[in-house]
Amino acid sequence: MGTILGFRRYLLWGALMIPALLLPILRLPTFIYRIATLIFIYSCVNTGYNLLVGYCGIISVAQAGFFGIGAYTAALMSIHLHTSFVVNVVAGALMAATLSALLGLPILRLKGQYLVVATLGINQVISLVACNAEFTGGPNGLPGIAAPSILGISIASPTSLYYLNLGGLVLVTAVAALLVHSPVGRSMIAVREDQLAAEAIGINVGATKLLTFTLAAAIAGLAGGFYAHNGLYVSWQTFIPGESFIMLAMLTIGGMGTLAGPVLGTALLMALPEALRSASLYRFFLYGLALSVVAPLWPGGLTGIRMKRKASTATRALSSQGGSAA
Amino acid sequence: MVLQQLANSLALGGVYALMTLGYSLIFGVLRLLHFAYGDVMVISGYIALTLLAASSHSFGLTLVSVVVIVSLLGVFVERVIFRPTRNAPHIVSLISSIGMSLMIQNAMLLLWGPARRLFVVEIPVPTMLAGGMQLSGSRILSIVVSIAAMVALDTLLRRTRFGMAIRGTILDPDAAVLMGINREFIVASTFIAGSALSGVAMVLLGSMYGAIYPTEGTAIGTKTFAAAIIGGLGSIPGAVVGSLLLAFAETFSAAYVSVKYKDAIAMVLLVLVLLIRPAGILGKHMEENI
Amino acid sequence: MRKVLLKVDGISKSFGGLKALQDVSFEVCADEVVALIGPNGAGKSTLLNIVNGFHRPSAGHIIVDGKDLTQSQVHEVALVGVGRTFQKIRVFKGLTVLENVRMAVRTSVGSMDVLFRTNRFKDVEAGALDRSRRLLDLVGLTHRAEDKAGSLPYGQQRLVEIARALAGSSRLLLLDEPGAGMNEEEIESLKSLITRIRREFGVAILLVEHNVDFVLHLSNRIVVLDHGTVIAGGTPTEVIENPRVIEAYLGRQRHER
Repeated sequence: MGTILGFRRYLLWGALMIPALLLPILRLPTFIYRIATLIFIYSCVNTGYNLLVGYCGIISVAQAGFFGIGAYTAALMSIHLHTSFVVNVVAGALMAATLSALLGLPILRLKGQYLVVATLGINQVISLVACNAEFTGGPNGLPGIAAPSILGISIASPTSLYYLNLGGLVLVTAVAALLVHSPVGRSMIAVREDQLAAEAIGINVGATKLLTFTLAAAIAGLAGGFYAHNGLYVSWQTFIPGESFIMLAMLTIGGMGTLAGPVLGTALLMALPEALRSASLYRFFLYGLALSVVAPLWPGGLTGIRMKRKASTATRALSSQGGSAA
Repeated sequence: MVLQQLANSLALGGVYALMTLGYSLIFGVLRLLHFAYGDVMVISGYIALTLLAASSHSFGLTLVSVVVIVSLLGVFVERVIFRPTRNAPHIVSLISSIGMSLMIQNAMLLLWGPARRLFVVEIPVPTMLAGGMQLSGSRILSIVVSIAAMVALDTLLRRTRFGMAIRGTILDPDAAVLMGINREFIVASTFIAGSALSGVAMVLLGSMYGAIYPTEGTAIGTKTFAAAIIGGLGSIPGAVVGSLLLAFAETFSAAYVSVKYKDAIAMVLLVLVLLIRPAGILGKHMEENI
Repeated sequence: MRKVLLKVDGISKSFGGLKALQDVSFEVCADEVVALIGPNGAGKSTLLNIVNGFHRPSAGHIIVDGKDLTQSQVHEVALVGVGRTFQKIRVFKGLTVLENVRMAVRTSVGSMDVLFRTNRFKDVEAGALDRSRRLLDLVGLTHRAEDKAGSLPYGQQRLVEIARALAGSSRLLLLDEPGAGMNEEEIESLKSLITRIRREFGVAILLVEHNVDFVLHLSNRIVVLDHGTVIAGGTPTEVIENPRVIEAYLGRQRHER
């Protein structure tokens, strides 16, 4: 069929998009759109995160840090340079990408568990600088970010912000989908499965890991820019290592190694506590509980449960791309 | 002035050494990262303080309470998190222990609130003045207790059969099993021993700083990792070396560079060591078997 | 005169103070099976790892199909046309058997073609899948194409590895103890598979083995390594009767008693 993802997949995403697009028409209470907007933003971050952890098998807990780099870059540019939304967001992505590439070069040589600790260190330093430095506003953060405007049209209402960030999510997911169903995506999966064997069949493992690491950070940085222009305020608490842990929780529960997984996991872990109003205080406690329980019992998460018997849908799609087989 | 900082570093180094030794023991038998190590320490402190609150502030009693509580929690974590995930891919136990860390930290936030809480303990040692240095009682206690604990640990590991079983399991788990060592028992007991050490460290840390706060676990955890890795993962003397190095770096940079970023020093040092010599100062180079 | 596909030239390797290999030289031609044998610790796997690019030698050269690859990275060596199986089986456990082989098939498609899923892209993909299926057919695993590689029995996983090693248009195949852990029946079919591969693809095969019986009827030539040096080389009959070889193996046995 003529579409990028294959006919059946196209139907599924279309089915999800229609309610998403129509939600504002229902004129629900405003807070629902605000939560949905945050879900879109965090789903972006997690989609990028999923490329790194789910597809490439590199465990990092620095994602919140790069999210913060993007957010602060966009914030600073908006406040001091009065540049436009698009410029700020792209700058955020580039800043995060550059930093991650520089750090990734030496760090990605490290073996599994050492790498996790190194990324924890990175996130820790980022949040410490954010909390203590003058130019980041110290512990009080940076208020006064301008509302986003595209082509002169200011986007300030909850519904318009909703659509803006939904658009961002669609963009990021499309990029991720294209990547995953390409030779680069194939290389990432091979690296995840067995680095030495991947190297022996001609895959440049070092380059693949660096590319994925940088891309995940760039997406986080991009989403950070969206975040800054959504809440119009950034502060360091949003970007501490604990937040990276929560993102990991969203990935774990939603399912890694599939495109829908991060969105599902994010939606679940952000919407559910709001739905159970009284439980919102215990939200993080529940995240932690979920992580401790889900990981050993269902390593594949919600969408990945099928991983136990057959290869995941993503890798199956890879082999049936040519149109010749099942 | 320098002498003062040196003395402070020693006190801090002693505490870090205990934490890191406890962690190294656990990592040695488990071979898995334990993300909730620091948080278990801190919550034990909170629980002990709450239980003892009105009755007593005796150092000895606090010490014993914390050690008991942290050991029990250690057993619990070992049973619930690490035993079931032992044969699964590393990422599973990693995520599980991250989950545990989240849970424990937020339990503390819920139960005791985010503000720092006074760690009230009567320190049986007075402040001493010597050679231009002022050593607070808690610092002296830290140095003394940590040395005592390290001597005790050394004796345990080298002079008892139990200790040898632990060392055997750390060096070569398969061979140890073949020699009749009960792996389950050793892992559980090592967890208790390691947790106990962390409990002692917690009390010393609390008495030195006079406060405890819920998110302290993250800082403790990352510093413990840093010290262990800097000194060499899996090496017992390495844990001590790494801790001392870390304590010196932290104290001196806090005094002469900036107080605000002292927690970042650990991370910078860690990343540097990981890049230059990933095996750590005293670590053994572990080659990947092709 | 057959084409020399692998030339190991004066390879020496020291790890710290330990001399693992000393001045090892031999050649492997197309359409030929050369076995590298020797007692435990002789340095066989180290040599293979050096050919592959996992280690750099302390001295000497590795020349594959006329190209000096001594300082090349593993993936660069693979791209020249070297396929490998490992002592400890390294299939992609979470992927299907077919996907395992497909991973190694190299295609050249422009990024525009990938992006827009042009017909050219689809044709290339179909061709790659076709090639993968034919390789699976060769090793007799067509009926297991859609199963996860990790679920296969040990012997069959080895076959997947071999198919995958061939998939990258390999002209040189490095097999590291392929028969390890297999039963009699599997070893026999492995031997005929290797012979078939040699004949059908005309590849050069360098085989590291511990089991001398396995290689006796399979190889065209045998190189014997002991304590990191070549102590004999020639046809199987020559090598078997070489007193130094016998001593190396028997002497070892005497020690081990």
